[in-house]
Amino acid sequence: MTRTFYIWTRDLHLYVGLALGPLVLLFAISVILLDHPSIPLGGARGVRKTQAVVQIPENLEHLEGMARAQAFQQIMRQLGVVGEISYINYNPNQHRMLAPVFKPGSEVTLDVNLSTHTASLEERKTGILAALIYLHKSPGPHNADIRGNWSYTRFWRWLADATVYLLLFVSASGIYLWWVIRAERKIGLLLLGAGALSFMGVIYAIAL
Amino acid sequence: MPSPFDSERPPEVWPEGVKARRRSWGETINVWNAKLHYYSGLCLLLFIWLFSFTGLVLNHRWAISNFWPKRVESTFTQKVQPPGVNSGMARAEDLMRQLHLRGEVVVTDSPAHPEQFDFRVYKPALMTDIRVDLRNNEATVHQIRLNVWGLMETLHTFDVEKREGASTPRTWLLSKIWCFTMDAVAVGLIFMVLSSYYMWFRLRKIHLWGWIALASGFAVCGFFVAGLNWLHRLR
Repeated sequence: MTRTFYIWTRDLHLYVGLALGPLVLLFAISVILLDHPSIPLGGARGVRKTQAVVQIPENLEHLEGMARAQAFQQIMRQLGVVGEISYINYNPNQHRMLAPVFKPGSEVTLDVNLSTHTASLEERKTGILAALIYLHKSPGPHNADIRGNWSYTRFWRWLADATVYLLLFVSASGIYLWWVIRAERKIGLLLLGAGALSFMGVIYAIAL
Repeated sequence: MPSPFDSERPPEVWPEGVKARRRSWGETINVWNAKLHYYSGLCLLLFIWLFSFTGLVLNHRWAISNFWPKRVESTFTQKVQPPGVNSGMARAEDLMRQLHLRGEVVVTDSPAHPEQFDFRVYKPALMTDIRVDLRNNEATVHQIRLNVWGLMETLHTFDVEKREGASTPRTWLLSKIWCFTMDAVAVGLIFMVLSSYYMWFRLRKIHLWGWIALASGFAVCGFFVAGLNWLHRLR
């Protein structure tokens, strides 16, 4: 029984770890990029600007939250723009709506004039490193009422959650796999203790 | 793949005059790669759990973790000595000493009124806004204290979100230490992933399932990092 449990745990640790590896690399590399904003992210310097006449969905300015985001997507479809709407800023005086639309590696700012039915569009390629940062922070806690307005963001949210649950499994199974190696228990316990002490020490000092 | 249950063999006895075989370089690398894999995992365990769990919390607005309505706000005023320096950061540091405040400082570039000096001090779970009336030498300090959920969430993002677009370096020693800790966790995770690939590759028997797992991980990741952009360019 113990042996079967060991073999299953070991194999699952291996295969889950292998599948999870690229996602862990994505999150880990983006942490370093986020921590050091001086690292150049690359991406295109130029911005592609276009203008077009669009059909404005009815009552767009009176809609709120996700309903407004979904109506705004009708304008995006006319312009061939896809991605997650970060937020929608409505200026009632100028009768304009401004919305940044993101997808990993590109950023589009849409400025729609509801009076003249024109939309100006600014597109910038942000590059692979910025894509890693975007994915790290996506979907995130901001503008929760419209977050996930793009199907791929919803899928990514599910994947990011799965990464966490699987990482918890991999770490718990790793503890078990370490514990069965009797010769490594002492040094392992010492390292675990040292890690726990530094964890509590740093948090205590920083939050005191 | 050997299991520890298989490896309980009796101690090796070498005949007199025969020297014990030394480990080759390859064997030494294998042994230390495996050891360092779980040593680093054990060392970083609590940090990995903290960042994993808070990542989950940040992606979901669960009612239990909504710390903002439970924040505690307080305001007090205190007389201060006029700072004898001109630069914004030096002024803020002088005033922080007088007000016994610690944390990462953010100074607004252009003050709204010349007779007023505003700055902000951040710590995980504690945000402090300071408004100094330079004519009356009086500081008004407004503090927002967050609960444990707020502490955990701000530890995940501490000094990262506020630094976006900012060119000033970190000033608080503890935020430098926290930044170093986050880097160490990231580097540790990268090492653990790469060392696990090495260990798996040494197990020649089960490469097929390993390749399938690895390829599926890279395919999903690659799709989001580069594939989505490429896909929409095709349309």
